[in-house]
Amino acid sequence: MRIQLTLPTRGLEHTISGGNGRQVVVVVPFSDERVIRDRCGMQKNGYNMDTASAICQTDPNAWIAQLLASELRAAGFTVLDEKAAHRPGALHVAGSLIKIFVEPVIGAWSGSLEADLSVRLQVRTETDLDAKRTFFVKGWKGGQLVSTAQPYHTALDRATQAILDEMVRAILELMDRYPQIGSRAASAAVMAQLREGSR
Amino acid sequence: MKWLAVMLLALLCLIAGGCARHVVVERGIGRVDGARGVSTSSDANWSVQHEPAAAADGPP
Repeated sequence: MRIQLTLPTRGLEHTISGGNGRQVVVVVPFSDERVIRDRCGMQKNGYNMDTASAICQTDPNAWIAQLLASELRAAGFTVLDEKAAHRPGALHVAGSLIKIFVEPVIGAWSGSLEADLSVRLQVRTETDLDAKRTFFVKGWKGGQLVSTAQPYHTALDRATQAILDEMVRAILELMDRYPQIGSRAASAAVMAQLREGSR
Repeated sequence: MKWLAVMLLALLCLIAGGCARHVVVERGIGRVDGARGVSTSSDANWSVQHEPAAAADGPP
């Protein structure tokens, strides 16, 4: 028997603000750097033995990239796809899915579910910014031994909320550190510099 | 006498089962992709390989 794992699609409960219309280009899908690619989790018996696989119902690499794009849009960024025209200072966000795995953690008397979710973001601009950052979160659902799919979804939803929050805040922090990224005024200045340099 | 033997056998089975469970659970035997012992933290900061060209001052 398999557990059919539906990947959560809801955005953050508490939307983050501060994008101010700055341009971000999100590359969809993220690359797949998972060690285990054929399943997204597993079920165990009371002796911690692997008894069934949890299978993602959609491609997790596209899912996490699309979710990040939606959340950046909700935060006030202008989110574009790769082929769209953009400013020179627009932030290109590419990423790698390193881990998505939900499994029971069996204790002596009770069990819980843990969802591991890890993503590495690689960002760059045409104005030479190049940076990366790795995110790793756990979603936890405790208090019961597992016989249905619902706790798997709850644990994964909590992990998704946590990693989305971390990623959006990190992108905001980076773009606030370098105000020339993604903004209209800054792009005009960069273009002027490039024109000056070509004379 | 028979009842005593059955009771003793049941007790032995209970102890043996408990020991086996303790070994596989606590020592993590059979763990395919353990959640324990894995780094559980995100990077604290961006690793900036190259900073962007300076441009306009002021807020975005």
